[in-house]
Amino acid sequence: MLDILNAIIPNVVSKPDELWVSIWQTIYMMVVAGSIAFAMGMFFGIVLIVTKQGGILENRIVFGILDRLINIFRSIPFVILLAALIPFSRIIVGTAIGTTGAMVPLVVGTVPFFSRQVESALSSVDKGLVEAATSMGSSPLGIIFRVYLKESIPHLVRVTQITAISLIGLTAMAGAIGGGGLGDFAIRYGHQRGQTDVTYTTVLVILIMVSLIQRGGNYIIKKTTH
Amino acid sequence: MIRLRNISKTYHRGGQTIKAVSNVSLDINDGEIFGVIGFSGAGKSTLVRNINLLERPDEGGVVEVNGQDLTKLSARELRKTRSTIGMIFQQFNLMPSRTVIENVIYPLAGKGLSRKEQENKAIALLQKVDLAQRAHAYPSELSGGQKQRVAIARALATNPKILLCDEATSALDPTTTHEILELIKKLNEELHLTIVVITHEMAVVKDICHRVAVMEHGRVVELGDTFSVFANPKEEVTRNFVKAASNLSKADLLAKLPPEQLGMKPGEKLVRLSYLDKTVSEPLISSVSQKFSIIMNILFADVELVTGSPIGGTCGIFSGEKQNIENALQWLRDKNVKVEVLLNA
Repeated sequence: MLDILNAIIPNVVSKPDELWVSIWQTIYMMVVAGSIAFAMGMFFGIVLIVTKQGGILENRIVFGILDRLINIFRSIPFVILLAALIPFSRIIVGTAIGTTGAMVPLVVGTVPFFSRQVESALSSVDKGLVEAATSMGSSPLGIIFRVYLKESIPHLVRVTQITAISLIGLTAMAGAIGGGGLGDFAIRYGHQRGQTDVTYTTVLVILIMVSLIQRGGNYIIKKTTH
Repeated sequence: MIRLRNISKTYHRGGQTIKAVSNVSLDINDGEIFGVIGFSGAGKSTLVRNINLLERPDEGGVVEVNGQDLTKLSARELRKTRSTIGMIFQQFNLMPSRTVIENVIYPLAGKGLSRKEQENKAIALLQKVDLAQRAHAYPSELSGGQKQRVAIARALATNPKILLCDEATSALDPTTTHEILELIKKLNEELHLTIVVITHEMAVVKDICHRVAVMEHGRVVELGDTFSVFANPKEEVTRNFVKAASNLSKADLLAKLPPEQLGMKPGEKLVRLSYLDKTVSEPLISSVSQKFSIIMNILFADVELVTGSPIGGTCGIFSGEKQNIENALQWLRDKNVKVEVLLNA
């Protein structure tokens, strides 16, 4: 077995520890940055939906500000964001390098995209359901949790899958500021030292991660769609 | 008792102002089924949404339910009051991710009931609407009529005294419509519910409403007990509803034909008789034939039951002695039958 692997991916077999470390770094960034971005994106997506014209807590000013902020941050390319947020990262997490330093740009790069996705998921909830809930005396908070969120679970899972997969792409880029992870691994060995088998291996690992996210999500969607 | 005073509702959309409801005042009595009929865009849906403040009336409007002006309540008090006013909708608005029983339980959350009590209550309500056996189905597995039954059970969960029905049968076929109307009528009688029915279908109003308001361009143009409003329509829009529901308007088409085509001989008359009274139970046509020795050749008749009393009439050709026909028509007029001579041959 080892002989075969040695023949196909010699440069990976020679440094298995580094591969494991970079896989764990990617997972670490995904989980931490992903969870923070998930919570924030949900929050902003909900704020967008309820403050929108005709929403249950219509508020032109809040909606206007948030809507524009999201547009501004969505239009900044991630590589530029990585560089631009260095001072900000130092203030927030105390460092601008390494996996921890990459967290801030990862969150800032994901939240606007995910907020829009959440907004679109929640706007798929029939207005009639909101009206019915209001007529039954539900409070705004009750409508958010018991109607908007509950009724759009399959849709929310779908947009979370999409965002998680695009976050994998971002963590790879975060390698550029020494964030570590699979992207960093592939660039340092695969690209800079011409060890293409390293590149292919990282692609394979990322492919496995993507399909796990897809399968897990699809399972939940199937269970919650009636 | 629901008292609406000076209800207007203006929408501002992109510099345009649209007046959906203008200056409507209405009293709806406890325990009655009150209909609001109008063609689409007449403002009736907006009006009914003012009763539970899903839409707020313009400045100066008063919405009083059981002596309480809802427009003056705080958000929290309003939510509490809203749960005493049930509402059902044209599109049912059931939560698709919840089963039937969970839908019925929805409004019971936070009312201090245990899970078991909530379930028992929901099952009792589902029994009332004859759907207990589908308690664990999802709405997508139900027919339209069944969905509306679930919606009714849900609307009743908080023991409301008022039920608002917004085009509740408009998405249903005639048979199912009839079943739902029977259910609404039963609830009105058993629970002494005050029911407000919004519809564009004459059939709905004539089957169950005690009183009716006819709306056009945001205003109430006619108001009264259902029978008198439809037996004696004063406004064009009301007449249109009666016509749409009745075959008798076909007679107007016949009157445009040459008399020969109807097989009429000289001296004969094409006549439309419309009943205006609730007392038309005696056999008018045979009486008039015998009394005045004339023959009435009935072309068609159309009688509808409006709140249990017949409304409608007969269209036919009278033949006989000229004087006899005149006397017969006069006798019918004296019986409070509306007589229209459409064509003289």
